[in-house]
Amino acid sequence: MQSHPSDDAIQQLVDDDFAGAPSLRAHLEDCGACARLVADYRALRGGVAQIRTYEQPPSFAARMVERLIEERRAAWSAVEIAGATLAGVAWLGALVWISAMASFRSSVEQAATLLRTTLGQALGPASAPLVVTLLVCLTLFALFDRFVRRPVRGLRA
Amino acid sequence: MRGERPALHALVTSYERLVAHIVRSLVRNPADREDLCQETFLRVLRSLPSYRFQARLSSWIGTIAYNLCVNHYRRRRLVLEADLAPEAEVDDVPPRPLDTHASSDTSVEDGLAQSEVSRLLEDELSRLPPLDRTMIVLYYQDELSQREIAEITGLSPDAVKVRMYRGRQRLRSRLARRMGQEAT
Repeated sequence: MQSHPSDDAIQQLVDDDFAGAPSLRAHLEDCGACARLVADYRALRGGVAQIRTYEQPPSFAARMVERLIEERRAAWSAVEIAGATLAGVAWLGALVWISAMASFRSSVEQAATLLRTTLGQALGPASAPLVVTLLVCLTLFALFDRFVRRPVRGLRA
Repeated sequence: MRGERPALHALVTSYERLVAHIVRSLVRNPADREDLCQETFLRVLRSLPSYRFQARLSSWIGTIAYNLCVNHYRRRRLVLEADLAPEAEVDDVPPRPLDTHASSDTSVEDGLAQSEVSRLLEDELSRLPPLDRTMIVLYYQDELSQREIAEITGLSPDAVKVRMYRGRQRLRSRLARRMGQEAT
C-alpha cells in the first residue's frame, strides 16, 4: 500500500515553492492523487491571493490617521484640563489660606507680607520675588502654549 | 508630537490590510466593518504604551481586531461558532494522509484560468464559516503561519491546523463541484 504524505506536508511544499523535501517531490511523480492535491493547493493559494473583497478601501488610511490625530489631541486636552483644574484649585487654596491668615487685619499688604515671610523662611530671604516671578512666567507660558502655539501648529499641520 | 502624523500613517498603512482581512472576513455588515477597523486602530493607539513585545506587533494588533469582532458578535447576541455547528464533528478529526483524495479525478485548476478560479473561490469563501474564512484569508493573503493565526484567534495550533485542513478540503470539493456544473 502506498504511503501518502500528510496534508500539512503537501501544503508546506506548496508554500515553500517546492523547495526542499526531495522525497516528497519524488513521491509526486508517481502519485496522481497527491499531484492533483498539490495542483489544487497551488490554485487555492493563487486564487485566494487575487481576491480583493477583504481589502480596505484606499481612503481608509488617510481618514484613520486624521481620526488618530484627533484622538491624540483630545487626550492632550484632557491632560491640560486636569492640569489647569489642579493649578486653579492650588491658586484658590493659596488665596483662601492667605486671606484666612490675614483676615483679622483685612489687608492685602499683610497677606503679601505673610507670603513673603513664609517663602523667606522656607527658601531664603530673596526667594519670594523669584517664586512669584517664576509662577507668573509659567502661567503666561501655559496660556501662550494653549491659546497661541498649539492652534498655530494645528493650522500648519 | 513632531513626526506624529508620519508615524501614525506608517502604523495604519502597515497594518490596515491585516486588520481589514480579519474584520471583513468575520463581519458582513459594511458599516460595522468600518467601525470595527477604526476602533481597532484607536485601541492600538491607546494600548501601545502597554505593548511589551511578548508577541509580534502584527499578532498583537490582529488579536485586538479579532477580539473586537468577537465582542461585536456577543453584543449582537450572535455566536461566532454558530454556523460551524453543522460541521462540528469534523473538528475531532485530525488531518489525514491523502489516501482519501485518491478518488478525486479532476484538479480544480483543470481547464480554468486563475481569474476564474479566483471568482469561484471568492464565492465559495463567502459561504465558509467566518472563523474558517478568516484563517484561510490570513494564511493565503497575509501569509501568516498557523502559529501566528493561533496567537490571534486564541486557539491552539492544532485546532488551527484542523480548521485549515477542513477549510481547504471544503473549498476544494466545492470548487470541483462548481467547475463540474459550469462545464456542463
